[in-house]
Amino acid sequence: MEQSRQDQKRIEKARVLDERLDRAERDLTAARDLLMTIEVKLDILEGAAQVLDARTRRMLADQ
Amino acid sequence: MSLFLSIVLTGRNDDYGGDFRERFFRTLRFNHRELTARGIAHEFVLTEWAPDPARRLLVDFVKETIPDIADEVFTAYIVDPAYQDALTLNPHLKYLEYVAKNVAIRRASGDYILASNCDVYFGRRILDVLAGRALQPRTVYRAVRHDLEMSATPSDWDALEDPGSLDAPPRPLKLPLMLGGTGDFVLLDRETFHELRGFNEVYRLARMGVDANFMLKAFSSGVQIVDIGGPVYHVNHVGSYRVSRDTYAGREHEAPWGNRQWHYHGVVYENPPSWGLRDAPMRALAGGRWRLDFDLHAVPPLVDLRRVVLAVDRVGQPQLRRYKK
Repeated sequence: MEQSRQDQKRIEKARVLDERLDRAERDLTAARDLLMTIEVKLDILEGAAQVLDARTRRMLADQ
Repeated sequence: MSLFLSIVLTGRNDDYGGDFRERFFRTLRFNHRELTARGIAHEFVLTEWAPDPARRLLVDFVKETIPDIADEVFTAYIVDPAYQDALTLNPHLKYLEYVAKNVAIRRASGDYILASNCDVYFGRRILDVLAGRALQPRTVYRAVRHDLEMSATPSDWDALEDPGSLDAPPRPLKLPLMLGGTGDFVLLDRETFHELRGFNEVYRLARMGVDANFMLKAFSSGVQIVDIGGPVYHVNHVGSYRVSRDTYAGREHEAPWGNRQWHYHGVVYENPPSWGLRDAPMRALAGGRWRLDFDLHAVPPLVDLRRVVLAVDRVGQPQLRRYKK
């Protein structure tokens, strides 16, 4: 009887851990997706900053 | 009757890859001859992107060298170099190839549009499918690429299909996106090409991956992706990414193809409605030539971050590869 109760507890604990793992995997995927989008946006911002910097320098040099 | 096929190309007279004009004329002659022989109603639409004003136009060489291609079969859009300067987000990237292709896609009149490159031969199977008009709308057709040795100068089928001319074994197209030499062959109905608003014009930092990114956008938008069943042939040349990728080892940021590490396999785009330089003032020149003059109003914003969006997976389809460092 005692053995069976302990087995039940272990099964329940494993189920809870499994759910947590699933949630963590989903969170990780969502975080990576977000990171990917942010990195692409940062590329664009960095490119724009460089282009604008070059344009400004050219204008100042021409003056 | 409407025109069946528009073949979209971009190039300029800049000796790209050493003998660009010769490579272009060989494929143009070959493809035009084979399409005509099969009665496939077609036009070539060339965007001559940011040509050097000190050099003759590529389109003038075409008209002079291949006079049997009538003006109504070959249209050229000559784009003011100021657009390259105004649009680029990477000074090392001297040719915004996919914005250039969008200029032609926007203006092409065929029911189907084939975005390809100036040094690509269409194989028999492709020509047969086109001749049989066996195409479905809302389907991107892809073709595997056979790379021929650099010295190859094929002008007939025997030379083109000689297995001994292959530079390397062809890489098969794999689901879900069927990538690999994508820029050489993207065939889609005009309506869907317009619905997707062409290739990515938001991330203007790279040539690499923009073609693959279009496939991701198509997949993410519910468009089918299909192998047309036969190859295109491409002759290797100096300056191509395949041949010269190691030249920039350790200084990748200087490479003329731009950043090749960007997340083109996970993030897509929503081009503005004015994609393909819709608002650029156009002037008709003689012989099927048009000039797109510079107007700042035709230039999209340098930065428009809300147009960068995540691709979505599709139910019942293989899951997309996501974050890759």
